[in-house]
This record gives sequence, structure tokens and C-alpha cells, in this order.
Amino acid sequence: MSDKFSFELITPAGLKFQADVYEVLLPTPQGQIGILPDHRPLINIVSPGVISIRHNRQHTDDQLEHMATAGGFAQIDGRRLRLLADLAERAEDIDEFKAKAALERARELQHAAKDQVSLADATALIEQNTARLKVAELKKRKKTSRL
Amino acid sequence: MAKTQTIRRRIRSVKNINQITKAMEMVAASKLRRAQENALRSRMYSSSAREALAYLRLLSKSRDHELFSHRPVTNRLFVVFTSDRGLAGAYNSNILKKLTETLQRYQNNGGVKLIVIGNKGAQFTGRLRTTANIVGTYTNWPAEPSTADLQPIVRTAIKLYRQKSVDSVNIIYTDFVSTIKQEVVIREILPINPAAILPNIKTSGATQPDTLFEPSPAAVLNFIVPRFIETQIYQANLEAIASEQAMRMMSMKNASDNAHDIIDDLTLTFNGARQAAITQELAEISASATAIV
Repeated sequence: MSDKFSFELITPAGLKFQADVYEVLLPTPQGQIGILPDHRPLINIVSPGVISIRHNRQHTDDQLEHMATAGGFAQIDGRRLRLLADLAERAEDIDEFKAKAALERARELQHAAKDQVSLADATALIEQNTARLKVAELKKRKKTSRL
Repeated sequence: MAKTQTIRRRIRSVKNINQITKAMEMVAASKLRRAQENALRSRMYSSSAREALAYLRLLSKSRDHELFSHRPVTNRLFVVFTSDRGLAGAYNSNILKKLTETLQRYQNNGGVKLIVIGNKGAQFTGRLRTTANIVGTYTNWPAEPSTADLQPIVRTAIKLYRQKSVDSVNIIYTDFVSTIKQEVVIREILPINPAAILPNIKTSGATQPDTLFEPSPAAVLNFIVPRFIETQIYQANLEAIASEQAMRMMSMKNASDNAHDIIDDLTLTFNGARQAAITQELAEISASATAIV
């Protein structure tokens, strides 16, 4: 058993992540799941939220790499995890103020939504921006814990 | 004298044309850069989506999802991507040639339905006196479409397939190979044919029949299949736009080069004519001078 598997994260904006990692935590409709090497073949829906990547077995939770995603589709076959996501952003790429403003706007949209489609759009926006803020928050916490 | 005047006028008009084509070339070049970036960026995503669909199709039974049903193909839907504006070289004529061939092949061999994007295609199909059934035409298409712009097309295509009004959905578009090479492609989107998309999966034995679907096969397929079909149509549109700009740039470049050649030619003729006129005048003066003396 090798202690790593390859993780590819592909979005419409290109390949966002590709490396051998030890563990990936994915948000799914049933809650968070952890993918380790030699996971049984699995096809899973990914919900909007935070993806966490543990590069090495020895790494602690503080050393996880986090990314915000707007949801997508994961294909797992033990040696490889391929995630097709609508969006994936690292903490460095996230503008916290923008995300906060977008979250406010999405909330207003949700209140004003008249039909199912705009309601679903607004809800998706809310989830997306909440995930962004969470990633930014995790990054900040990491910085302060190092001090 | 009259001759030099007309030549001068022609030079001026060719120069004006040259200015226009040069400007169009530059505009197309900058649009191409953006369109190319857009197309290349999402290419990996859309090809992965296509593979994933084929993979899902292999893993599941045709009854698992409506869009996975296989049936004998008689009615076909073609989604055709053309441009709104002309002056893009052979861009539209290549596509419409392919469309004509396709119509000839399938018209007497089941029905053909069309969804046309772009003014040029709309004009062409408007003139067609055929039995092809035009489901929709979309003109004044945005230069950088979003997936929301394509929603109505995707939804119509999926609906027709579900209702069994069509048994296959295809797209005809120009694939952007490089700035100097673009190819008209017909691609079948539905039904999903894993053998065509993943030719070596059967031999490599990469399918894993014990794959788990979470939350459930139906939920996964309902979530993913329409989305990935949309992704493919979207990618086709991006490729088409990049191709259009590339072809416009190349044809305008050729036009500018040609205008240069014409200007050079005309300038030479003009100088010759001017020189001839001067020589003749001199000859006349000296002839009259000898007559007086």
C-alpha cells in the first residue's frame, strides 16, 4: 500500500491542483468525507464548502491546505481522486471584503427571489461565499496560531 | 493626364481599404487573444467531463437515467454554431457546407431538427427549402457567452431527447486547433457513446463495477449529466468563437497584404504614366522650340 494517492482538481478555469497527497476532506451532501489512499471506488457529489488537503501523513490539522469550492463531482478509484468542480479558490485568491459583500447581496437576492430558479441561484451564491469566508478564516487562524 | 488621375484615385481607395482591413485585423487579434484564453482554459474541464460521462455510462445501466437510454436513431438534432458577422474568411461557408452535407445525408434517413446560432446560419437556414425542422435560431450572440446564455439551448436539446422527438443530439462547430488551423467538427453529445470517448477502457479493464455512488446513482446522475452536457456545448461555443476570430484575423491579414501588393503595382504604373507624360511634354516643347528657331 502506497501512502499517497494522486489528487486532481479541475475547474472551468483550468487545473487548480495536482499532486500526490495523503488525505483529502470533501464536503458532500451527507457531510464531510475523508479520502485516504486505497479508498474503494466511489463517485460522489461534492457540495459547496471547504476542501482540505493533507499532503503528508505526519502533517497536523494546522498544516492542511484549504480551498473553497462551489461544488462538483468527485471520481475516486483508490489511487486517484479526480474532482471536477465549478470553482476552486485558495485562501490567497480570496478577497474577504468582496466575499462578504457578495454574501450580503446573495442574502438580499434570496429574500427577493420570486421563483425556484432565482432562489436556487441565490442559495448557491450564499453557500459559495460562505465557503470563501471560511477558507479565509482558516488561513487567518493558521497565521495567528503560528505567532 | 487623365490616366494618372484615375490611377491616383484608385491608389487612394485601395489605401482606404487597407486601413479598414488593418484595423479589423488588429481588432480580431485582440479578440482572438481573449477567446483563445477562454477556450483553452476550460478545455481540460470539458474533456474530463466528457470522459466522466462516458465512465458513468459504462458503470450504470441505461435504465438508471433517462439521458442514458439507447434507442435506434432516426431523428437527429443538430446544434450549429455560426457567426453573426461576415468577413471571417471561410468560417461560415465551411460550417454551412458541412451542414448541407449532413442535411443531404440524413434528411431521407429520418428527420433532422436544427438549432442555429448566429446570423449567418439563420440567414442560410431561412433560405433552405428543405424538410429540416428549425427548432430555434439565436442571433446577436454575445462575444463572451456565459453558461446562462446557453441554458435555453441546452434545455431544449435535453427536452427533445427526453421526449424522444430526437434520438441523437449533435453539435456542429469549428474546433480551434491553432491560430492557423481550425476544423469543422460534428460531435455526438447524446446518446453517450463510451466506446468512442474512451476507446481503450474495455481493454485496460479500468471499469470498476463495484463503484459506490453517493448519495445514490439517480441523485448523482441527475446532478451531473445535464451539467456535463451543458459543459460540452459551452466548450463548443468557446472553440467556435476563438476559431471565428482566428479566421477573421487571418483573412484580414491576407486582405491587407493584398492591398499592399495592389498599392505597389499601382504606384509603379502611376510613376510610369507620370514619367511618360513628362517625357511627352518635353518632346513637345523641344519640337516647338526647333520649329520656332
